[in-house]
Amino acid sequence: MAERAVVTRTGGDDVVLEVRDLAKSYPVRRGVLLKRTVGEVQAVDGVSLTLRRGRTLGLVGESGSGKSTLARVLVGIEKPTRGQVLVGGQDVSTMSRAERRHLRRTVQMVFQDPYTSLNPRMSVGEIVGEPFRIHPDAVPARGRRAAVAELLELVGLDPDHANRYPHQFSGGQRQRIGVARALAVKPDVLVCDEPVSALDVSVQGQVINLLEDLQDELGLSYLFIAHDLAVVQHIADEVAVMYLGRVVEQGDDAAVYDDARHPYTRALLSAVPVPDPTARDLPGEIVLEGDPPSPADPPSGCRFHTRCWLARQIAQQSLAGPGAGTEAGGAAEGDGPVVPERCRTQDPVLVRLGAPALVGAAGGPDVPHTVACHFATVPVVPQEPPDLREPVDRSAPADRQEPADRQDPADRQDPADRQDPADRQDPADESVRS
Amino acid sequence: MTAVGQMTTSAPTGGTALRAAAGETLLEVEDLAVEFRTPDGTVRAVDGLSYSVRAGETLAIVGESGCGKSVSSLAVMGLLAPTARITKGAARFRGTDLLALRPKEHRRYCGEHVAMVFQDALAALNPVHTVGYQLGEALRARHGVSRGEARRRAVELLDLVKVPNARQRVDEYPHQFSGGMRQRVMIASALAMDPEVLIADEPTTALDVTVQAQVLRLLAEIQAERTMALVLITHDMGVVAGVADDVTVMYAGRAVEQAPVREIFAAPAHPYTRALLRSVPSLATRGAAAGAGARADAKAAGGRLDVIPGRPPSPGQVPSGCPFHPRCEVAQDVCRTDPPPLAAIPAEALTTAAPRAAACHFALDVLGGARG
Amino acid sequence: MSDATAAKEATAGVVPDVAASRTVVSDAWRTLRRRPDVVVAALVIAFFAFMAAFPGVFTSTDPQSCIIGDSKIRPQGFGAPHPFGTDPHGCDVLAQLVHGSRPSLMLAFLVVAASVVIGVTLGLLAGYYLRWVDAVVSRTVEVFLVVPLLLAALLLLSLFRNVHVGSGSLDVILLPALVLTMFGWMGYARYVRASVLEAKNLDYVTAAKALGASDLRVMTRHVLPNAIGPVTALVPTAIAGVISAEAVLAFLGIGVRPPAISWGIMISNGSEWVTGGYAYLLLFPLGCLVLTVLALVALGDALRDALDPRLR
Repeated sequence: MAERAVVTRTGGDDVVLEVRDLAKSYPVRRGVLLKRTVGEVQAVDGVSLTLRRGRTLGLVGESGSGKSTLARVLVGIEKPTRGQVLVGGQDVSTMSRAERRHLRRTVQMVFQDPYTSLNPRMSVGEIVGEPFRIHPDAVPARGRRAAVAELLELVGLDPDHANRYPHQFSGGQRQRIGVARALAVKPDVLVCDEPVSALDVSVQGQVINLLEDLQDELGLSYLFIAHDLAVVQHIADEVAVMYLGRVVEQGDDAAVYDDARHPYTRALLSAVPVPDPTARDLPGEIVLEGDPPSPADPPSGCRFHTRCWLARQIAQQSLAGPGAGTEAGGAAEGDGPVVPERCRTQDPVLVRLGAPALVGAAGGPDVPHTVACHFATVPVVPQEPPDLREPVDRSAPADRQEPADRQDPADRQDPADRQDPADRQDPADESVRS
Repeated sequence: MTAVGQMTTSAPTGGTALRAAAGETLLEVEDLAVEFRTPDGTVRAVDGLSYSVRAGETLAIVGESGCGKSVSSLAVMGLLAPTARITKGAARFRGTDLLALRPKEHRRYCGEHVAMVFQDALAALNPVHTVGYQLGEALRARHGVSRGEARRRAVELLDLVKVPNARQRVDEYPHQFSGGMRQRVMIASALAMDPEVLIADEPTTALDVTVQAQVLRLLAEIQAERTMALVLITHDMGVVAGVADDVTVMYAGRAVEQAPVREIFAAPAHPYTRALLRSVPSLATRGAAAGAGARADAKAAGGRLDVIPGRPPSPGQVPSGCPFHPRCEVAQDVCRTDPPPLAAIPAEALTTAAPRAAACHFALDVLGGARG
Repeated sequence: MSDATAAKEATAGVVPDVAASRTVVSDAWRTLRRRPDVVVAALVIAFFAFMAAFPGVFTSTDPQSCIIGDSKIRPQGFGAPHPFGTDPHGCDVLAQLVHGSRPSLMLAFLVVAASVVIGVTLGLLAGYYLRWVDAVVSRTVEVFLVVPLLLAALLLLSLFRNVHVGSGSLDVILLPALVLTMFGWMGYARYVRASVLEAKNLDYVTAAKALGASDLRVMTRHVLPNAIGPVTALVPTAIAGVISAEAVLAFLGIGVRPPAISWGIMISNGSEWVTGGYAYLLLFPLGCLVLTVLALVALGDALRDALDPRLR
């Protein structure tokens, strides 16, 4: 692997993969003979990300957050409905077919399930060697056997096992085979979609260590998708948190983990079980109610408002406090939880926070800490009444609104129109005020 | 919302069964061994497992895939596959040995006193019946309750597990429920017969983190309310730390360590437990500054995770001697030949009165090392 | 990489190494040769194939030279002029059986092979591309399922009655082959479509696509091998079905063209005489059919197992 391809750098700052305002929606069709489109699922809706050489961007979110769809778009299996994917500074959508095929090599993927990600009818040698058959120019036919052996060695497997079949290997070893296959075409970026969540606890660490070693050795960049925040914290330099197709918080991993500002991020962090029984009774645990709503029918305004603990707290405060009613009054009636009017109607954009609470990790480029919440600057301790006056001020400092510039109003027709009262997947609405 | 441990004080859902007093031993498994017939010969999946669980307390059984944690509870419930055989041991509920009962009686007895919740709630619910019908089914079949009464109980049960709008949702089908709600329905159905022991097999593994927190909290509340004994089977040390009172760590079909939760996390006595605790990356955030510092250190040091080399043995190929020895960092020659028994740790080596046991020739060294 | 070496140690010796094999097919061949049931089944098939190819080796009697006076002679055993007896028209059963094997087997294999090719191709395309391809294929399948076989057979009969392709054995079975293929492919298409829908969403298919593999490659290397399973189970019974369906067509005059004989016709005629004490008229052709089908079932099963490395 010594002769890694020198990749053309267009940008000066080593950006290997960039995503701009990316959206992917799937039509929901009904009918047998004449399929009519009855709606659409916004799996990913206006996501912008930047991945630099040799760094790891952690992408965190629950099921339905769109993180796996995003991965599929990035490796070119799905076409985005809007937005751009730039690989090495070049826009993929403007490329010719052949160029795109070549570019596919730059971004490869490691899958979650080691049991479905390898074709059971192919030997390990065939699996790892398949990329050479697809791209015959990558390695001359005579050197392929050696190349496969080299790849297997690189991921810590015995090259003599090339004749075995996937079912003869354990989950962790299969995951190594998957990594070897992805590395065969010498990519710059590996999109790892939950690469360890299907593995045994004691084996997870082995695979994570392997990925980190490979990164050091080959200068790879990772987009590391996971729901396990502890794993992401361990491996990632930057973190983006997704909820229902949007990025709600993004920044350097220290900033996001230690100074989380979005109520969803805080709830996520709080929900991670801590392997320390003495921490059990510490105050400040936030338990969200309900399940994430269906992406086919996202809530209006801020998509998180149906489960947002902070919004409810603020609304209660303003109802109780003097001069109440202006902010939350409109929300008092109806089925939904009591939240500030603004959360129900206005879609918050990602806003850069003023001064980062903690400086980025040593040597890393400065990564802005951005949050999409109307009340991102509320200094809340979950159980104590938040100070309302300051954050409710609408002229709160908002440095720059990156994605807002590119938002196409046509794509954002009032989401309330799409609400379908028949939908039963969202019990959150009903679980108000316990 | 944000309050910790909101206690529901809803009326206990019927049932005239005597509730156990907290602390009373309800389920006692002794020297359980389960074997499977496979094309490659007989495989011992569980080998001499013993544990007990008391009313109002939670026992966590921790282990990796293939360690026998699920098989052992299926054996207790009388739900083993036909290829499996219980070769020895007893599972006593209030003194009655469940394993000595005939299969039909066993299941009937379990239905009333010991209930189980599975990982995959979608597979455990029948897609063609409404949730209410399935919840009421057992009551109708066993207690001859009328249709209307069964439905009323079903609504109560859904309320109990905090399914919002229970009155409406009782008439819906499983596919109309989300993952978290389905798991609640499963818990409700386990509670239908008002059991005294609940065995939950990875109840939150398939769920999202935020939903997992809800379900764990729900289980804890229901348990406290009914002074129920809970056996929680899991692989997640975080979950164990959050809800368990006692912990049994299993490896290759055997219990390798048993201890109260605080003690085991503070100072594990078995090298496997110790390695397991170390290999899990834990979230460093709530102690903000300290966490960030520790993390920066770790990253600077190459950021490698401590790992256990190799992989868990499959039940058919358990190594000789101590089954953990090929992966163990303290293994000596004796470990290759002599399987260590699960032995009580002498009282003078303990910091608390609670008894502990570990199956390691060098348990005291490991324990001492952890403290030092 | 200490953990890596340990992982190596862990695998070593788990499974005995499978020689220096390369592909699934060569591995499959290796396994198949060693199974006794496979060898027996293969011998049975070879026997009937030989009979179809060289009928003269087994009988010197002409199946058409029927002497009405010799009718309904019971089986006499080998050495006698009519080892398997004669039918109500005085035709020799053994001669008919031997000479009937060629049209029956040829028809069966031709029809099933053509149906499998058509059905699998259409099912694969429909399941893989969905959208309009699927709509067209699925509706076509439904149309063919709805039209009654006999009605369509009569229609084709009037269309092709006078078409001849040479005078070989192909001409004898052309019409039934055409009709039975037209109405025999739908099952394969539906089964394959269903399993393609499942197989194409697996991660290894996604991985191949992410590597830039062409649709053809993804379909033939990844999707089809993992979706073809149900078809191997269908084929042996389909062969039996074709042989008996041919007898029905024979009634309409579009079966095997007389004066040629076939197992299907023999079974059909023989079944009328079972109760009268002439069961052998049915049992001989039926026995041949059952033997062929069982051998194919065994071969099909073994082949499916051999092509799946997990079951070896």
